[in-house]
Amino acid sequence: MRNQAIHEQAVPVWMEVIALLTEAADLGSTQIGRRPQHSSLALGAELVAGKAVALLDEADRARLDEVALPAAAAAWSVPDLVAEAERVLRGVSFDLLPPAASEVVIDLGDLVWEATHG
Amino acid sequence: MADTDPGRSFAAGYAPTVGELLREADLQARRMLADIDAATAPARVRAWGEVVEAGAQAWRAIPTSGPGRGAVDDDINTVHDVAKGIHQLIVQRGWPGAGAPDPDAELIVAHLTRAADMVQARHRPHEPIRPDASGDVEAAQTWIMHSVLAATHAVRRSLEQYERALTSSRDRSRLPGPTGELAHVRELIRRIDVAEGLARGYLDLRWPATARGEQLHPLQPTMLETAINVWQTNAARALSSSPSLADLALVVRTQLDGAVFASAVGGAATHAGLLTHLEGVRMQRALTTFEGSSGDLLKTLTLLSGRDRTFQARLVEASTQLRMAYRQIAHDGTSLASSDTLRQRVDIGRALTAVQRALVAGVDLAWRIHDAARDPSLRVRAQGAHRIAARSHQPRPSAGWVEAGDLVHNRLIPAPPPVRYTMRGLTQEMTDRAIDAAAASYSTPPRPQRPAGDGLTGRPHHDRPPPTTRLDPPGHGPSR
Repeated sequence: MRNQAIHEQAVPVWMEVIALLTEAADLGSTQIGRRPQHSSLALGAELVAGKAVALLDEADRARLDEVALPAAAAAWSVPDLVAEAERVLRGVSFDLLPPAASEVVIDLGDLVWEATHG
Repeated sequence: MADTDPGRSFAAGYAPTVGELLREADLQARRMLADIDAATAPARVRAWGEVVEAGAQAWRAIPTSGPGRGAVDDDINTVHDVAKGIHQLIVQRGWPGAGAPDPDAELIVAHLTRAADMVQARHRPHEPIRPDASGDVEAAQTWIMHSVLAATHAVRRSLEQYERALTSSRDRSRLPGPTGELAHVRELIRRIDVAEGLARGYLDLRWPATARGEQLHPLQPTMLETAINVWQTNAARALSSSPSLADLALVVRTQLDGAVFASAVGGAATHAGLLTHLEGVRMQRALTTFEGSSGDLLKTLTLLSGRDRTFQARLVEASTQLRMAYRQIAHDGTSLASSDTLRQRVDIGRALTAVQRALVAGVDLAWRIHDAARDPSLRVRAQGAHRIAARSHQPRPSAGWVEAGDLVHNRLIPAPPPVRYTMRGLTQEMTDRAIDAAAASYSTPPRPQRPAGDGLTGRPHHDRPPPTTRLDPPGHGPSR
């Protein structure tokens, strides 16, 4: 039987990835007038975040708002936040994640490519 | 030639374990995802079969936890069979021809091959394994399949870029020669997509095949129309099925992205003469105001949902499909495409019609959001509710609007009255602005010639404010 839950060692990193993605999503809608080109990327970040949140249990989901982002994140753009989320996720060994996490990993890889190449 | 010594990924003299080699293969496959380029497609296609083969060898080297290997190997064998078929196709059609393989893919092959060799040196594949090792076996198989999936996805994406470049007079000249035939490239994409679907299936993923299939077709307005229709149907159904706060926010966010797209199409339609300058300006202003009101609503919704955002599956699939349709038309690299580029990509008149219908149907979605936000069963996060209620001028109950225990644990709670009041105002405002945007997207009908000397003294037609309530022409609006 395959493990369907995120290993407890990986949960903090997984939550940080979600925090970075939701930050990207919210920044994209806040800046839609000034940077409309980031709207699509922000929506993509929201969609990936939703898939990532779905893999957490209810207790961890309630704690998501407690995750603090680095102070430097306040100056990051939507593409920066997406790229940082992917960089942070790379630090998680895949054997600590359930198979369904693969979808998040690959979608996030696609999103980084969008952020850097379009 | 790339350095494919897997030892280079590790410190000098360090002997990696099988697990570390599989992890490195996986990371290398993920790196491929961040480097998609049409120019890399031939080398990646050339190397892809070797990646699958190395994955299959590593898989087969791993001992089984049960008596029979057949069923265990079926998953990877099927992917491997597809790869062998594609290799034959490449040989028959002669593209891509001989040349250097992709260096990233070569590293994946090197890691997987070394892992297979290490396992084979210690175990025979048919030997039974200890019961407590079955978890490791399963993890290794998952890891191998994930590496194959990520690499396959990257190859498909590169090929899609290649296909786009082939159909673009601007980008075609940048491709390394000799170039592949368009029909052959499309067949390769379809067949690699099958392998990707198999790998995804093993990893228990549910991927909308229709959305994946859509990406294989050349850019056509029909793809946009299909995506808009699918979105409207699914969003309307989701909003009628006890949506969560996050669902509401996703609908608003997708509509916002639609407003950006509508603005781009409106600009191109104005340049094409389909809208007059004044009509174009009116449409842009209405969309900007709509964006402002939607943004205000979104801020409140995200405050109330926090980062706990999960969505109904149909919303995710439809929003993803619509986002991709918008991107392929309105984006150029990391920027929005120019009006000229838009007009080259699509029949702008048909795209404008699709946008107008989407804006009209968006009014229906706005009303549904307005209704859903008033649903007493809608639940919100306690901390967000507390922050909004604290700004309220309504007389506060002695215990406060939010109970202390709920606040500490940030529980999901029914929306307190001040929160419901705030949401009602914001959703009403967004609905009004959606009505304005829909009305402003239509060109003003030609003014009938007034008979000379009819004696009318009212305001001239062009001085009247734009229509704001002419919506849902029969047969165009969605049914409720």
